[in-house]
Amino acid sequence: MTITLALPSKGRLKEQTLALLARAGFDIELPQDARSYRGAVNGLPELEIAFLSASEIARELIAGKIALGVTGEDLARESVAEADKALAFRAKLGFGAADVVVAVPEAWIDVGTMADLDDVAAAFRQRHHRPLRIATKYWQLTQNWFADHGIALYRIVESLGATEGAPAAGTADIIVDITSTGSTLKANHLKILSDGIVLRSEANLIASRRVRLTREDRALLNSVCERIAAAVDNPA
Amino acid sequence: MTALATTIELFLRERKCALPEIGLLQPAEPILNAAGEDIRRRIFMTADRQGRDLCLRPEFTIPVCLAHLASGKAKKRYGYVGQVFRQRAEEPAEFTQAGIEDIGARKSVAADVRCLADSVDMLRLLGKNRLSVTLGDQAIFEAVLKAMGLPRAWRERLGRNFGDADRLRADLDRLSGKENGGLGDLDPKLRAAIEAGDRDGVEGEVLARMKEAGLSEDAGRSAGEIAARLLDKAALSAVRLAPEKREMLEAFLALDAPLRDANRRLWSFARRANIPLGKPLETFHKRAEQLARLDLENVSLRYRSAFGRRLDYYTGFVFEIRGGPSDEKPLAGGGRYDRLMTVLGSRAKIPATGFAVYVDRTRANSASKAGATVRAGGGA
Repeated sequence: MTITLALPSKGRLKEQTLALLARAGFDIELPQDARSYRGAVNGLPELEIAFLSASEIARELIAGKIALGVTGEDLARESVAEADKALAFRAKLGFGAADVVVAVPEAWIDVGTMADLDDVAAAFRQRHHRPLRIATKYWQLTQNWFADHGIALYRIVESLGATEGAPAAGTADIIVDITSTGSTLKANHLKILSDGIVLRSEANLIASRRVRLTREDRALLNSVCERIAAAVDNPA
Repeated sequence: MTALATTIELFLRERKCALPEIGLLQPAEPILNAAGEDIRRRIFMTADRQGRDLCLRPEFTIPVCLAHLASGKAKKRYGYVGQVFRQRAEEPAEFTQAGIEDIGARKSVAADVRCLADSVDMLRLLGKNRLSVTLGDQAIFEAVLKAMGLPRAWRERLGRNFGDADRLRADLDRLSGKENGGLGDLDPKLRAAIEAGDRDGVEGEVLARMKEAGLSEDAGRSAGEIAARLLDKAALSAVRLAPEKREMLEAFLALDAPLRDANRRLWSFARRANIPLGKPLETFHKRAEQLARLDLENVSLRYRSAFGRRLDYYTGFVFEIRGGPSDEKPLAGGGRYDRLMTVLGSRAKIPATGFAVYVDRTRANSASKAGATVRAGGGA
């Protein structure tokens, strides 16, 4: 039997993942031609490699179509409710760090915390005859976060790009978005609430809980996870 | 249609209810707007070919209210029985609800009493004769907050979390503690304007920031609104909820008594705390008296001061009915929702009460007791 390990197919995430796997002693063979997404590990034929987009990896793990994958924790938690039931987060990989945050216009000088936002959201409908609008691509994370803070009166406006521009464009009042340095938010005159960090995300090695494995496959999966985790702890 | 549904419809007609046609597929927009985004996780959404969001009917109250508004009538009673769809952890997502919505009745105490009487009678029709009712009244809680002289911003926050003991406690902790909404880092010019109570100055600072960010005042919060809230917050940042006031509030929230004793308990609380509860308490008293005149054999009524529903359009009297005091899930729930019609777009304020019975829960229990099948037989 074999198991599949899915790796990000492009960008810095791909490079950093491959570097980490090399340190863990896996000799990854890249796809033969540009159209193929299948790779392999020299000397370890029972471990198949698939190169997929980071969001596809999250979906395939949740569907139980692959056993193991490297993707951002934000994408994994966004793609399914109660992510820990579907996925086992086996190792944080130390790269791809970015935070999912709640950000409001800097002009909202009266709003610094989620409690402030709760007050504003509650009064919003009476004042403006519509609920507070939040632009985000993170439906799941936003709904959970606001529910945890007891805020129900708001609406999500889906935003699949340039979310930080939504308040100035008038399509939303505030945003929930991912940021690594905060500079894009700053350039758009937005500020992060002091207790508004929804998730500190980074690249994770994730196993699917929805895939059936033989005892040998399970042992292989565990040993792959252990080797990768050890390589994270001992940067060469 | 099942025999049971026919029986319920007959009951509704006898009680002078119109039976409006409410489709299984409902536009999602008004439901999300009224109940909030959070409900999206608990309903079944779909879309039509024009991309309009639709959902499987998650309840009847909002669709019935929309139908009422569309009819242009001032006052009417509506009844319904049918399937609703909600994502629930331990029970099937498809289940049957029946209930009455009484819209536009001006005599509010009479409407409250009738609402509870109707729901008890409907449960009796379904074979549930032993009932325990928990009653609450948000208006009393709000009167207590007001009589204690708490600032409006605090009253609003506490009122919003009424019915949720954990959140209420967290609110009280915050209001009595050190982290009571400090202003954080502000630039010196702004801080000076706040300290001087210079509203125009603060507003000017906000406006400058809005301009710089390209925010339009018409699109959302205005500079005046932001400045006003900041000044309120500044005024409150040094104020703490005094320990004796907190004790008083906690004493109030701990009231839990048979309804026949509740009035006396509330009076003595008000006297001890030395706060007048005025009209809300009079209304409570009148309602309790009228409830006492109902035929309530085998029905226990209990008032819990902390009992409320956490939906912002419920405004006063609310209740839940169980088969026994320790039953986890209610057989029915209802109350007064005077704010819903305006939330749904009505210019005029229209008072309303209503209740819904979880028909399947009344079946499941009796079926297991009688050893019968769950299939609904004639209840009448």
